[in-house]
Amino acid sequence: MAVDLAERAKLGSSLWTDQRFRGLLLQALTIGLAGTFLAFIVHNTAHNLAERGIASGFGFLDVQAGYELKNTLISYGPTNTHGRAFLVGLLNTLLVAGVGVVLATVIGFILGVLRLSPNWLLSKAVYCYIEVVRNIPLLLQIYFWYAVMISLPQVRNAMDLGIGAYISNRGLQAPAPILEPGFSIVPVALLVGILIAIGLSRWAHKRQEATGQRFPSFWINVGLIVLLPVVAYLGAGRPMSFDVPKLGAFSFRGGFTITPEFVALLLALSLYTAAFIAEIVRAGILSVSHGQTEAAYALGLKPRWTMRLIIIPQALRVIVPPLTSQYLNLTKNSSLGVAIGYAELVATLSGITLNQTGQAVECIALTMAVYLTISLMISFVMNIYNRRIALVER
Amino acid sequence: MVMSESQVPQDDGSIYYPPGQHPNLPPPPGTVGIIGWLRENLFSSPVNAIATLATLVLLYLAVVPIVNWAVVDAVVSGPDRRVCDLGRTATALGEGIASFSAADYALDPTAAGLSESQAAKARGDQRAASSAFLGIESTLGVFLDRYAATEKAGLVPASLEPVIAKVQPQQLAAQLHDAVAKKNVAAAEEIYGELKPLTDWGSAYNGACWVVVKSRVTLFLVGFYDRDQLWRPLLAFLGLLIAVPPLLFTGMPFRRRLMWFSAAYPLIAYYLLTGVALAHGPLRLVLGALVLAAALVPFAWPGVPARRRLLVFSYVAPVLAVVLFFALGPERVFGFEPATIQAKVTDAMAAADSSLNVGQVVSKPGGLLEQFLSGDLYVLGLPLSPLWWLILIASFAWGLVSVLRQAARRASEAEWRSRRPLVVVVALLAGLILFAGNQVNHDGVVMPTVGTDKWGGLLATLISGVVGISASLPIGIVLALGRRSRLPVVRALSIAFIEAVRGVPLITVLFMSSVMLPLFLPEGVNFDKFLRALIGVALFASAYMAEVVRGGLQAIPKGQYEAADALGLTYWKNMRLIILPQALKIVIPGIVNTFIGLFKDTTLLGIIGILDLLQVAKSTNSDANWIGFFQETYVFVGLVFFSFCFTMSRYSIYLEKKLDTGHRRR
Amino acid sequence: MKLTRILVAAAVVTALTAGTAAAQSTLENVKSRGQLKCGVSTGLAGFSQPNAQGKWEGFDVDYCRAVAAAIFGDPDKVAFTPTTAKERFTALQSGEIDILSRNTTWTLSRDVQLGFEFVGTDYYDGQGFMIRKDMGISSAKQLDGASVCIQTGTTTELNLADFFRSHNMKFEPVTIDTSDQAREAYEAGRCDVYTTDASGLAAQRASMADPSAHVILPEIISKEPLGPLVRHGDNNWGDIGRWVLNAMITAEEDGVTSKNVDEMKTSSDNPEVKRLLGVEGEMGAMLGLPNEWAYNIIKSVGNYSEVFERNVGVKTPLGLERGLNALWKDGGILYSPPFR
Repeated sequence: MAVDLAERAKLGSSLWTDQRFRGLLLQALTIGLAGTFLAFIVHNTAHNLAERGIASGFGFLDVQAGYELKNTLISYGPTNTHGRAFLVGLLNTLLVAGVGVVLATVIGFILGVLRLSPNWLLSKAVYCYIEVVRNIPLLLQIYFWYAVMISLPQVRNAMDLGIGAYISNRGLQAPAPILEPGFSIVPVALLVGILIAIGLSRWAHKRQEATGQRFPSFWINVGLIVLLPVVAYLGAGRPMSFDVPKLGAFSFRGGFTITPEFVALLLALSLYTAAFIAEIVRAGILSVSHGQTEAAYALGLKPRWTMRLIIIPQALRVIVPPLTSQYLNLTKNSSLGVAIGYAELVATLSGITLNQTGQAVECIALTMAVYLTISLMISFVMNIYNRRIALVER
Repeated sequence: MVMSESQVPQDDGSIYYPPGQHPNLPPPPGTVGIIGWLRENLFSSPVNAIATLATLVLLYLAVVPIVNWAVVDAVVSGPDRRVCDLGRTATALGEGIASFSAADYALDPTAAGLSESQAAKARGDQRAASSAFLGIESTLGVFLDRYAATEKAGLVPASLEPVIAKVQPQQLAAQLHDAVAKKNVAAAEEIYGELKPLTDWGSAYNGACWVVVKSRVTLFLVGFYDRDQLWRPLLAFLGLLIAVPPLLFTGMPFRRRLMWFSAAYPLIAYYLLTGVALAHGPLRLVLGALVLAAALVPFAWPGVPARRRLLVFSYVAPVLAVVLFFALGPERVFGFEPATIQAKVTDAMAAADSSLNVGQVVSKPGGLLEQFLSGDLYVLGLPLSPLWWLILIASFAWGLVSVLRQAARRASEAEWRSRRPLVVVVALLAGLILFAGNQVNHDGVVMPTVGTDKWGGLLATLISGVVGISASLPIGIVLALGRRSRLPVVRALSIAFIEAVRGVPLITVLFMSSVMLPLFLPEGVNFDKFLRALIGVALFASAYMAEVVRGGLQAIPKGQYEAADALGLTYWKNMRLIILPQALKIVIPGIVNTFIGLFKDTTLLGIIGILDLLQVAKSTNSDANWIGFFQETYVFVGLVFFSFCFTMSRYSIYLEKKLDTGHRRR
Repeated sequence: MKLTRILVAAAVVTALTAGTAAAQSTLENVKSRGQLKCGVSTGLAGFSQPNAQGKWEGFDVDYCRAVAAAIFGDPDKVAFTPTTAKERFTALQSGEIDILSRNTTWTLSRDVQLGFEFVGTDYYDGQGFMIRKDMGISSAKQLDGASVCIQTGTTTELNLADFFRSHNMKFEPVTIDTSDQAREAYEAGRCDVYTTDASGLAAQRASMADPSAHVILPEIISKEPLGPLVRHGDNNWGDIGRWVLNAMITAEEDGVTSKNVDEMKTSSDNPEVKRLLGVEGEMGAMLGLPNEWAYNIIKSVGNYSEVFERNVGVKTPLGLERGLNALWKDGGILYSPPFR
């Protein structure tokens, strides 16, 4: 210690050569700069808004919206507020993003595996498909799928699916279930089924760990989850009826509708993202050294089991982090739905509401905050999953 | 084949070979050549064979209609939409005829024995059929009108003339009119039959109408860029083709020399495209201060090497500095309001120190120097002005050369000599671009100014892509280093920025940077819309880039960091010399992928009113002369994007292979 | 050395933090810049549209050119800033553009709440419906339950909801960002009805594969007075915008066209024409413009009628009749206050 102090005294520059001090100074400067910058912006914005007589604040969310949206997840009409329209948009964003993530993952894994197929033609065809989809802007692909959707038969010549459901370029019109009193037993039964299934698989897993014997829990679980609600439904005397769509003067009335805008956006988003996921999956599988496969074969595992037990778990470690990015991208890209009239967040809050109220700062800030929240949540969940599958070095 | 003694003929005619003596037989015919390849790659198992066939069917179903539309049935000639409309109308006629059902027409919804829903359906069908019955006649009328107009303009396609001669649609139209008036379905259907050659012609002439792209191709490529200045974007594009390869391919001949060009290219392109010297507005103030500081060196430091050369520079520099300070032309390509800023700076100086007043007096609006420097040199009777500028440029170049000379001293004298001409040329060029722009363009002879409001189409797409790419890499590296910094504040700020930007859609970032930025800045300070969009794109991409680079940084073994520390390298030297070269090399494919994403994302610039390639397509689609041909414009835009992105994607694969270390699965 | 450093710092700070210097008027700004910055639509048939030569043209564009002609005597001294529906207002608020001429409907909230001043109405429009002929519909009141294609970003959505509500009808909106997609959805049969301003409907119908298969319903469900607008607060600049428009209307009223303007200037006995063209009086000086301002407008851009016929009139693909936009004496409602 004494030497250190003496050394420092000899150098004559007490603080400046101290790494810790320099670090603190640098950070203080950074904070100062960032703070000043922020204050500068806030001050200017407030000044400019006041100067130009632009109203600010989120009061506009309580004002009557005055525009109509259809096929919303919650009831909505033109007499509702902008706040409710915002909620409608948010739910639609979540819907298309949620379904899109699942669909993109499934398609992406299938494409990724097909890409590695020994069949030359198949592998090349998938390669061409992936390259085409990856290298064309998503907006154009959304237009393309919308054009495909609206070239389905017109409503008068709608395809009859036979169960009271119809497909036309107005979308899929299907019977909507009407729940009658007594139906509540069905979801309860479903819940019970799921709980039992979870317990059963735990027990089966433990038994296998302990004794090495396998218990065919999968099919029993499926049976439990499907059959219990069905039995409950029948037992309660079928407490459900259907509102079947009927052709009216213009189009179908009644039932529920899956709009072509939703389907087009969903297809474009999932196929676009699936192309990226396919490449990620391929890279993940390729990242597992060939020696692993050979070792598995040497142990006598069949190719299917090698894939399931050896390759995929190792590949997942490489796959999951970029997969998270793709999920985030898909969610954010759903904001392009406004181009084809899907009433998501950017179409409602940052679209019509912004146009009508002129409160650009608030609308955009709110939109960004919502997307940021969704993204952080996805990241959070995926990080937990990633930690679970990460390689545990012993 | 000559038999040796070891080959013993057997009784059954075959030959016995001792072990190891059998000559090599040709492989079975099924395993070599095309058939072998097919068997191995396409039909190795029943599942594979089915997959192959299914793929073939799918390919056929997907490719044939596309080829028909884009090539076989496409319309490529003609000045406007009229020819395309003929085909479209004839097709509509055919579709109308196909949809007409005589049975529906004869329905009687009021007939007895029909249930309510049957009657409703019958009413609908009957109404549709009767309106189709009338509709076919009016469509034929529209076709004849359009045909007459086309004929008058002399644009009738050659393939249509014999069809018209054969079908005689005018007469058929008259007959159809009678039949419709008399509600004679049978007669009408006969006429429909006779119209068949015409509708067939229509459906074979109903492909893509490429005329729409052809007639607006310049708008697609350069937007509003002055039509008499098209050589400039062209030259800039050719320059890009020369500037980029040396950066991408290590084995390229003359790579080192071409790198000089690559380094200078941004300046050159900027100068070419805008016609304005790079140094203007605040930038020129900064540069002026730097020049002044450089000029002080030989006085402040008598022992400086090459002092004599620098002294010459010092004599010229004050002049140069004055010029830099006050030669603020009226151009505003990137929208800084140079006049305002200049006034404010001079005001402040005047208030604080009277000795600088001279400059203010000379340079005040309309003052001597401004007139003189804004190019109205002839007005002042100074025909020597070009010489004057030549001297300035040369002196700047001289200064630059001396500095470079000094830097090159450590290299061998011979090496310096071999490069001297190049250095001199580059220095002269830099001087020209930095300072001479205004003067040339004020004379209006060589290059008039072209503002960014004139940039559009592919030009805008490429500029935003290239600028975004070049800006996002350095910012991304800094952010990635910040995220791994030991200083908690720096780390927190970097993480906050990266996660915030990655968490929101680009369109909101663009909207923010375009619409809100002016609200964030003090009143009266405003800068160019295009620049704002570029800032948005670059910031967005740099957050992604930061994550890619971070991946590379994490992949470097800890030993590398420790070894560098042990050598006593400072943080920045450590990063620059040890870590980053390795880290960046690993993540090059990721970087290229980010570039591709960024390039595709430029399609969103339209949201803030920049007419990029896609936006030109959209404005074409809403042009009254071209409404209804949206597929053609979108397909064209898609093709352009595909060709650029696919090239980059191939390059990424090439790099991946090159950097592959060989432990991959087969 | 230290003093210099302080000086430079002071200069930079003053340059960056504005507010001390008195704000220049918009006209002075435009003049010193040498260019008018005019916000237009990114693409609306007949109103603002880039042509194949990369020049903006259209009705709204010609108004901008007229303002430039009035200020500079040169209609080409305009930098056109294409704006989308979302950013048009902030662009004007932030001072990025001097004037917004982008088929914007004059409403109370825009005039008052957003801090703008509409300088007048240069086009009286109204929202209409187009529907397939074979639907057998003859009135908008029969549209209960129809699905309607709308282009977003305008007052269209509100008008539509109001109309259906006031007639106690329901509809399914398909609200699409751009007109080309909305129109395509309609033509493919995704919607039963296409609604937009009547000025747009005619052009959309004319460009269909089979125009005869579509009809435009007689109802006009809204008032859409479209006009240029400027920021609140600079009244002189608003006056210039207003009187440029009035000059074009007055010129039509008095029969002054781009072809006969030189002749009228020397030979007309009409005192209003003389005042308009700057032969008599100091009308220009009152506005802070050269006295020949109106002459320059008419000479280089034309009077209202010329601009109308050139961009949207019956001989153009839009094929619009003058209708409401005829002069008051021809049965329309265009009426300019007198020039005196």
